[in-house]
Amino acid sequence: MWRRAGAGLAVLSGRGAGSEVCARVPGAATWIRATPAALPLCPGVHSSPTAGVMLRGCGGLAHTSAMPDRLLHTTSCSTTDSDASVAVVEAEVEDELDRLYSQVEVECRGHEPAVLRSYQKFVSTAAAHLDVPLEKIEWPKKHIQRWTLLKSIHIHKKHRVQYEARTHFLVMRFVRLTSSTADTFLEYIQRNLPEGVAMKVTKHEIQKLPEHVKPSVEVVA
Amino acid sequence: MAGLSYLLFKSKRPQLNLWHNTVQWMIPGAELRGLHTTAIASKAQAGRYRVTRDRSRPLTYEMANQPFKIAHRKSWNSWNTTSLFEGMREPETVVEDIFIRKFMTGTWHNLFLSEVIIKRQHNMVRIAGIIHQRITAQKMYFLIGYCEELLSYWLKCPVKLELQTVTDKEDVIYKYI
Repeated sequence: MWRRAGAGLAVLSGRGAGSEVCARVPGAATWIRATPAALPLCPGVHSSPTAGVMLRGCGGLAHTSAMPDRLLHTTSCSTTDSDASVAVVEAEVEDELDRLYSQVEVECRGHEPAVLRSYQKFVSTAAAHLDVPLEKIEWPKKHIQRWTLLKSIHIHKKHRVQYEARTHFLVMRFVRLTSSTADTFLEYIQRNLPEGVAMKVTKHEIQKLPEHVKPSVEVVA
Repeated sequence: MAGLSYLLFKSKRPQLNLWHNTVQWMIPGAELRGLHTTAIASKAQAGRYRVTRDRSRPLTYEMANQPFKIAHRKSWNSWNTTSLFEGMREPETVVEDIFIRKFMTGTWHNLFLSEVIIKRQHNMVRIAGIIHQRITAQKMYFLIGYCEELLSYWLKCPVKLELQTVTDKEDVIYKYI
């Protein structure tokens, strides 16, 4: 019915240009409004090797701990729903070698354990079919936040009402991935993240030691 | 708010009830004297509907289940991650939800038979609900586009409406009290 011809592609350019993906939704209305108030969430953002990128399954703002000031501009490009490749590289960047990740840790949080269990089943099945090595699945202890409030608007101090909010956690660890595999796989599982479930991705990258860091002469000899 | 379950605080009641019972039989006409001896702690009136004499008040399934049944027989109307541990942007989301609900019920005049369900996924807001088929399909399409467009400009993110329609209003009524 109300279809848009093009998709807004948000490209983040800042220090260390990386490959970004736009959070497109298969189906109608694939545009993304990129204003300072609501940054589109880009699952493929590369932050520093051990920093976590918080991705919300809701309309929360993107929170990346490593890059506080970034330029944001949008260009429109036409995309089709059958477009399989999801990683889009900025024109100015030369072809980089794939980064290597020793570990990609995905932490999901939700209010309902049944929803998390079903999502875990989906992710492990997807990983099994796509040959993405899933090493460990953990269920850390839930976190309960409680309030005790006055029941009545005036006096009656002895009568209270108690509320609680429970957050359940699910941690999945994938090992030995390349950046393109990680990007594609994360893009897929994040598109299917249910509403009310938040995800935090921590990538541990393997990098070559800088040239000036060498073992001392005694050790080598 | 998403993720809350309702627990009643067990206050020290025995003293109050003992006195209440004692007073009632010791002093004749105590009920008529207006002694305030009711136990406040046992009263709860949130989300509860009064029974009518001729059982004529219709209730949907959502109205029939009281707030303490949330997460047991009932789920939430608002799905987002704001009230999770280290959740963000909770107050703004709540205010947006209030606005969306007022906007939807106002735009669709007397057409909503269920609550307005708001689901947030990534930067998208999905609005769901059950509509009565009292207007033509063309008008519905126009209203869907109108709501999506205006709300997306207001909230600065994509808004999608996922409405279901029902021909008969009786279909959503669960019971009469």
